[in-house]
Amino acid sequence: MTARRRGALRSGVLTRKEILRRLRRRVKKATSLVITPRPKDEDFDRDSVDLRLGSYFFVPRAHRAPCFVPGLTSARYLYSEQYVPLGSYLVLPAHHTVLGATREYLKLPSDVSGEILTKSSWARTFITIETAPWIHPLYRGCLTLEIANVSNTPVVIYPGVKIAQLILIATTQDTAAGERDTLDGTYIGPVRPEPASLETPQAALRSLGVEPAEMSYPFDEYMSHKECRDHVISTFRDQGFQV
Amino acid sequence: MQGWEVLHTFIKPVADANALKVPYPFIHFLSDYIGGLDAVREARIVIELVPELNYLQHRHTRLKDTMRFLRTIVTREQSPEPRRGFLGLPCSQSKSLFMNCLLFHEAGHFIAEEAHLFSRKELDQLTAELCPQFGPYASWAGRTVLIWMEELFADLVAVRLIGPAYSFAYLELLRLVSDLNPKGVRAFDPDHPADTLRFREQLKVLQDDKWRGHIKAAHWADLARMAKTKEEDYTPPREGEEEDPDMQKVWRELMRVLCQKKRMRKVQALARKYVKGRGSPRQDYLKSASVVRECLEHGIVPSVTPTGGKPVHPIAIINGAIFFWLDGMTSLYSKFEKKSVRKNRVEDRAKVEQRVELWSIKAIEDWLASRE
Repeated sequence: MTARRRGALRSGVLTRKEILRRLRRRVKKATSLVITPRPKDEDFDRDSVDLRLGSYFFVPRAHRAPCFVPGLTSARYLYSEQYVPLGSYLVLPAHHTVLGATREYLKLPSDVSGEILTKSSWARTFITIETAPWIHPLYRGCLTLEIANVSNTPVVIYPGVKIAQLILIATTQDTAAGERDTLDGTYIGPVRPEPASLETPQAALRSLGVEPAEMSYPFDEYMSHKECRDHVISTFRDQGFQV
Repeated sequence: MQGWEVLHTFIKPVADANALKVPYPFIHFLSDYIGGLDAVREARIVIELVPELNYLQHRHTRLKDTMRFLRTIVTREQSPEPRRGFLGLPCSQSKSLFMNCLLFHEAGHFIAEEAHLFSRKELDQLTAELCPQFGPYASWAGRTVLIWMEELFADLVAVRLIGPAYSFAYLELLRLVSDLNPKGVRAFDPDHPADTLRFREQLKVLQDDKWRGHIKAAHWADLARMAKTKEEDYTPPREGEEEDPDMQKVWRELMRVLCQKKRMRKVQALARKYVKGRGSPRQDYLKSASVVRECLEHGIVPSVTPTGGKPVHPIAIINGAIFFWLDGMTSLYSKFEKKSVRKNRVEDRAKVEQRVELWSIKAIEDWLASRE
């Protein structure tokens, strides 16, 4: 017996045949792949699967606080939710962004990572859909898409269109082909876009051994004395933000 | 000016219920499912968010006139008004699935109104029947009994359409608003028969449809306990703090009239008749029960068809998800890494329970899309 277990995959991109084989496995197996609703036959390429745009969107809106501080101000105030049924559309103005999600709900096998890419035809219209494309083994959920129209023209997007390509990559043997099926709690199986859940800067600093009392806050440079600064912080707090 | 007033009264609540503020795929399914019944063929459902924790149905006969009036203002069209059922959904339940199964009861009222059940003709017959006992109050007595009969009818339509999911949603609502107070559930009020009587009739349908073998004994016992009250233990409506003994006698007599076997049989038969054409929800449930459970246990949207077979039907999704929520959550909690979700933390439990509802709503959405 070599270091590689019999039947285990070599590291590499999964082919159509292997993807279909994984899709046939019972969902309770850690090595099963789930894509639901199941893509049509023509959506499978030799080494990728096309994914479609879902109906839920988070449309950015003007923020009521003076600025957004990641990890301190709640990201949910950045968006308003929108449901666009199949057959309807959303206009994405030039140089604007929107959070969307794939129509398909995924569960990756324990020994497979994934990457999501903009379909090349969409990329040529200057639409990009993903800035955090990596998907970990055992991830489950609809994939949140950070859709950006970087062109100079408004673009109409219809839920249901093929917008993304999913590439699946078998990891090396030691990433647990027989690992127990577990769920992670940061984004538990999302079915629509979800606002960012970010670590606070204080926690990040603490982990580096820096005392958060040393932190500076936005507008510090405009405020010469402590009272002003406390006023800004209490205003944030009054609005329900964690400062 | 009058037009603006009407617009604000009726359009605003409906506009508020738009988009993500309602479980859209579930409402879409409800609308299609109800619209397939002969009595309300091709009707559409309009949802309004209401501030009270109460589901309701607007009598649409009056609303139809209002809609016609609005159309003449907005579009200048005089075409006949299409069928519309106007249902109210509590704003606190705007993203829920399980509790919103109660909308099927309101849809039952809509069917009763469209089919002219419990209408003038029925009232005249009942008034004549009750005249010897109630004299000049026979018309009021008849109207009250018909109101109670319609409530029972709406319950039975709901159970016949979606199965035990309705009864469990109803039980959950009672738990929420009254903690199943034993006195409260036995009490009639002028608009509703006692909850225990309503459960008794629902249980008959579930037994007829052979659900018992598919519901865990403990949950079946919950329903059976609710249905167990004897007729003589039902308590009449109370008006104010003082109990007027004469009025109590009148109410008791009315309750007896309602509980007569012939009347119960009639309500059961009407419910059976008006959902005819829809197959048994149990059959739909059985086709995919194991798939739904296995998916939810593993944190997956229950629309998976590994062999490319037929998509899971919403009735199977709704009932399977409710059964899972009642007795399967522990297996789901065990899948979470300990640091991320702790099952003894209320907010974590609420988050996971909400996920089960969202996964189920997504599966209904997938079913709708596969059909289109």
